Amino acid sequence: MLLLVTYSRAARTALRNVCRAHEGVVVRRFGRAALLEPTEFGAFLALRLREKHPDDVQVERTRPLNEYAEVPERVREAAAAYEARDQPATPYEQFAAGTDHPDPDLLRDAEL
Amino acid sequence: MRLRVDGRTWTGRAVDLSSVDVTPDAVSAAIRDEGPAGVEIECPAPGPVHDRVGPVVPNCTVERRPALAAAARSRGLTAPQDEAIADLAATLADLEVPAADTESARKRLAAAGEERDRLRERVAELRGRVQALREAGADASDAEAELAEAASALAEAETERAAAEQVLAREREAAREARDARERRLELEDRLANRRRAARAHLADAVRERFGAAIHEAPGPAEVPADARPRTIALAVYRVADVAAPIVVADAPFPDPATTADWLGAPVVRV
Repeated sequence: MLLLVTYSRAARTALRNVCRAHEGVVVRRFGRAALLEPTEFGAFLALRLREKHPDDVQVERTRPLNEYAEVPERVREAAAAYEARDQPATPYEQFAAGTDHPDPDLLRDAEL
Repeated sequence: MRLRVDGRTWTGRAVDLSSVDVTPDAVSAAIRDEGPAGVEIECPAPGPVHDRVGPVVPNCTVERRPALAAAARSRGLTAPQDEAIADLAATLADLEVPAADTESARKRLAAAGEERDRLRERVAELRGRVQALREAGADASDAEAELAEAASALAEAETERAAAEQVLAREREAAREARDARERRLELEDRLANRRRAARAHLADAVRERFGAAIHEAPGPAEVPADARPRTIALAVYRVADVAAPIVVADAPFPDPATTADWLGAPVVRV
């Protein structure tokens, strides 16, 4: 999808007006951001908004995350194991220490 | 005040232009010193109350709260939010937000990608041709030379694309920081707008009774603030306010401009 994020009052108002005028293209609204359908029309609206408020409109393209295809098994396992932990107050770093679960610093440095 | 319209001059606190071919908007503009040719007024400059209310005409629309807030300020009233408002406005005025634009880097990467893809296809095509020539036992040296050239160009294109990608990544980082600044600015702007709204509510409330009295005192059928006519609201706001610039009145329930001026407590130009 196309993610639009605004960074000024004027851009935020313009986004709100665009979403109101073109409900069919809007997948989700979040106040100063919105997800639009990744169609040429969605792109047209996004680019037009950016033309109107250069530097105050960010446009990103998102895609669904299929963790089974894109995220290593050890990361998925760590997430599930950590969520199922006995001690709720334990931070992940402590939880992972001494186990096979990946160290958070290593996770931070590894790109997906 | 001193008024000049199409060569004729009027002076005084209450001027009657009802027999003159001039619009309320033209006179209002002249009071702001932005009048059309032929309409000039020497008078004190109009302020926020005039901005909010405008000329008194039958269907004038007045946003009541901001107008009353302006009227309150014209009387010297202040709001508890005023200091915060001044601080926020000053901070915003000094805030510098860097550019957050990666367009040229995106264009460069897109162009580099296209060129790389084009050359890849070309190299593949030429390889095929060289292969075919060899298999046919023909002289492939020309084609081999072209292939070598294309392969070299492709290597350069790959380098350019990699470089363009790096530049874009750097610019995106910079844009992220610039957006952090813009987000802070947005938060400040929202806080300022909220403070101003709260101040207007406070100020309008401070003159609520005077406004109610003015509505009640307006000549004509008795009205109440809740559903007063637009014209009455405008007159009442001006009566509550303390303004020096002349008020343009196109429609008022008074016998003459002088009475209007007395009621409003300000100079009047009847149009």
